[in-house]
Amino acid sequence: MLRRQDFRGSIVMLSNDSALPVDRPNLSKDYLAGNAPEDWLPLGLGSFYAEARIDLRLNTEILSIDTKARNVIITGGGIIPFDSLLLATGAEPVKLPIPGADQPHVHTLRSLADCRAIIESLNGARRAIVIGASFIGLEAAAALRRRDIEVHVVAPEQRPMERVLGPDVGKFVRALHEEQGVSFHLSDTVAEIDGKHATLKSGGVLETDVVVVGVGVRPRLGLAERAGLSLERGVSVDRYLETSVAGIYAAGDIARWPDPYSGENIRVEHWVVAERQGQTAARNMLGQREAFDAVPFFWSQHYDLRINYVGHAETWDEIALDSSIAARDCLWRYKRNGRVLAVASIYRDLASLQAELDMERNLMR
Amino acid sequence: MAKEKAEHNGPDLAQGIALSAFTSETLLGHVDDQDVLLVRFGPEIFAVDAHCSHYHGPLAEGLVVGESIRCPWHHACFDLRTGEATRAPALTPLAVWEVEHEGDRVFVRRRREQTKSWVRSALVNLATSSSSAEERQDSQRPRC
Repeated sequence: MLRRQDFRGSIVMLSNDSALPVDRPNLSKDYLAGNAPEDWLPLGLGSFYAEARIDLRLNTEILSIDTKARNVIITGGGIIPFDSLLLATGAEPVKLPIPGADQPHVHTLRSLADCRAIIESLNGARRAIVIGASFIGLEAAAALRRRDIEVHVVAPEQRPMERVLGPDVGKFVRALHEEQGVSFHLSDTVAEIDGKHATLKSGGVLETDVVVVGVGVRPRLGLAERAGLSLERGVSVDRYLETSVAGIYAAGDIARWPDPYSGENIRVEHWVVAERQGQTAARNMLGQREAFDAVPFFWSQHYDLRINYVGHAETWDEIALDSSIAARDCLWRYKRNGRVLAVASIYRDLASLQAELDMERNLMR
Repeated sequence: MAKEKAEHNGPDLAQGIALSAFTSETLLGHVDDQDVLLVRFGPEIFAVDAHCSHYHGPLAEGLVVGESIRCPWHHACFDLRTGEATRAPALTPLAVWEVEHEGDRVFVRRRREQTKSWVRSALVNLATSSSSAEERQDSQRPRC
């Protein structure tokens, strides 16, 4: 976006990942399922970075940010000066604090390397356990079923995705996965993994070749904290995505911004939000003073079914269903005090787009 | 072996269509083997690739908002006039097609030439051109 806005100065992009930036949603969906070719993954096509003169440095750890001298210090002692800085450090998967979680066949799923490691360990595997029944866990379960792996999902909640999408969607999603052959072990956790044996808290033992852990992520706030930026369960930013230090912006999983629709300061761990914030932050780094007012959106893919979600409802007091779950053509409105905070839908794409627009224009009823 | 015949949506726009063919603000057709979406906006007609540059979603089933269109699948947004991908998750622009009016018919025959803006600025800079800010073309693009 900086280059699209005709910025002609130098751009340095620092990443501690070993891979070029990739289309991350694919890693729990088609790519993991074996349905996406390699060339779908890179975000920058071909020689993008060279052509756009972006000095991308992979495998680079940042030690600190000096907000006074306005530079970044990287391992090896390099000092990179900046006029403007965007922090987009993302999040990292929560590791399970159980015995056996450090074995090579136990994986989290975040990076391309994680995804490839899972695919590698599926070679010759028959059975997998997925720990966690939210987005990453269930998308991974769907992808593994596509590879004809026997899948057991173990999770503490009563219904999958219930915390975000409510009990009805949870029941529906559970039934959908059961139709595809997934076994659920809900209201349960894995207490210990010993080689191919996973012991459940409820007492049973599951045989498995591979374990995928999808129990949430934690925003990577260390750099921001050490730099002295204001934090509030995330990096606090204003409507322009600028942190408490002028010229330093934050976007994506780490940023907590004033959301105009809900009137609350929210932090959202979803791909499209992160990308859109990056775009807005870039324009503001060039002085445009554009408020970030996009309504949060995410989608989640399960087999051939896509759930779209616009808005942000951490809690609600009513869920209104339009149409029928059985017909697989539905739209749920999550309300608090009579106001719609978010809309989830299946096969109601136009209604989802309309809901997004209505929320942007504050016309949502 | 018989030549394979590809299936296409809607009319062949290179043969022209009558304005009366529009039954809504959009019309899906094709030029050779490319699906092209026409969008009426007041007296103007825009023509863009009919599939999203993100995951190939069908823009004909999307939502037109002013001079922009949003993809039904993952809510990417494009400027209909320039093809610019204005909102993620699409990051690359749509091809824009020339629309030629002849009487009460419109014809679409060729793509408009587009330069990647980030390549343009990088090249201009390398050539140490003296022209700079005047060349900004898309900084004032409408938001959608």
